[in-house]
Amino acid sequence: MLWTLSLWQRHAVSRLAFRIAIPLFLVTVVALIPTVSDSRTFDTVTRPFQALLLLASALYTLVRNAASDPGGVTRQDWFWVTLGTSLYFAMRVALPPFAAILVSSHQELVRLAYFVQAWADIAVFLLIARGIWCPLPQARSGGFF
Amino acid sequence: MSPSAGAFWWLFLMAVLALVVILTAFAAALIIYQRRFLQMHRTFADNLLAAHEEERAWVAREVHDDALQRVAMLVHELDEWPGTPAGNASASATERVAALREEIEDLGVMLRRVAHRMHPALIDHAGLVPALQSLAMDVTRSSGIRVEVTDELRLDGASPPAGERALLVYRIAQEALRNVVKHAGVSQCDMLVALSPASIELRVTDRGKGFVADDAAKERGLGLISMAERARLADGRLEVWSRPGDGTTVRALIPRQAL
Repeated sequence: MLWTLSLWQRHAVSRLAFRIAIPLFLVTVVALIPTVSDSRTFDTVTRPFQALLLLASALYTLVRNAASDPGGVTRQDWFWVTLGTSLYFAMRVALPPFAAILVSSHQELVRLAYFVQAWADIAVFLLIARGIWCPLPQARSGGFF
Repeated sequence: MSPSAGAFWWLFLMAVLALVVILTAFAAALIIYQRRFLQMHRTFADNLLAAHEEERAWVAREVHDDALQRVAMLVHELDEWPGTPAGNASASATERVAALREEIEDLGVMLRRVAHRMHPALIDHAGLVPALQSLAMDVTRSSGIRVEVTDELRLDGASPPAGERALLVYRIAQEALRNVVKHAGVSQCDMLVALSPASIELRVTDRGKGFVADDAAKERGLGLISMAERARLADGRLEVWSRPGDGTTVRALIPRQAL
């Protein structure tokens, strides 16, 4: 995912940063193994970390690219895909802590939240599918910075 | 700690961790990019200077091998012309030919000077120190400023500098002396060249007007920048000491081998 996002970066520094973030993410996850020994807790810890990292990356790509290419963003594949992934990871970040708070007192609300998440996931897949249908961008020629 | 507080605590911790990863990635990318950019800039400057020197050498060769030969041939033709004392031309025609011959000889001298300035062949044939001494004499002849050249040879069996590095030191000396002529307002300056197995040191000192060293680059155009750039390309360094009214010293320290 980070590698894909790196391919959509307009600036060399951002592109390089996204690629450097891949080994950094792996190292961090490996470093978390001895810290969080219980397998169930491990999942609840690393999932938000992964979701936060990818949410930030997708939002950055979306905002940065939209700012530098204000005209016709809806024709760009990165627009739909980053919009979809931002929504997907935002739900993954926001829902578990709120569910943990409300699960004992407002179970109906939690059920509704997960229902909304399921519909949001469908919307996400549709957004990504819309991105896949966009025409392929022309290959750049020569170096750029 | 309640489960809900624990969930928020972990979320906060992971947000901090994600932020650290992102910032580290961007910092590392910036450093790597900067290094690549500097390397590219350096390679470009290196190639540019090499192309510049190559072009100058070509022009100098053309002037020396073609234009100067033609000038010599013209002088020879005029020597052989029947209007010379042995011939039977009128006196005024003979005078005009003699004047023409003199003009052509002056042109030859001027062309030789241009060729020498474009590419000092003396570096290749005699070495750096004689080339610098010749440069000092040229400066004295053209500007009237006496340049005292001192050499300190501590080679300990090592070969004297030649090729690109010698040419680079010569160009720095050329630029430093040009600055003395243009800005210092003196009648004398000193040039020291110290050769050791490890480095070449060049020092040009004058007791002239001086300047505020910090303003040097913007006030003196490309001269100081090009000297510094040449020194940097050879992994050396250029130092300039100057104060208004206190003269100027330009010191270049160039390692004999690339670092």
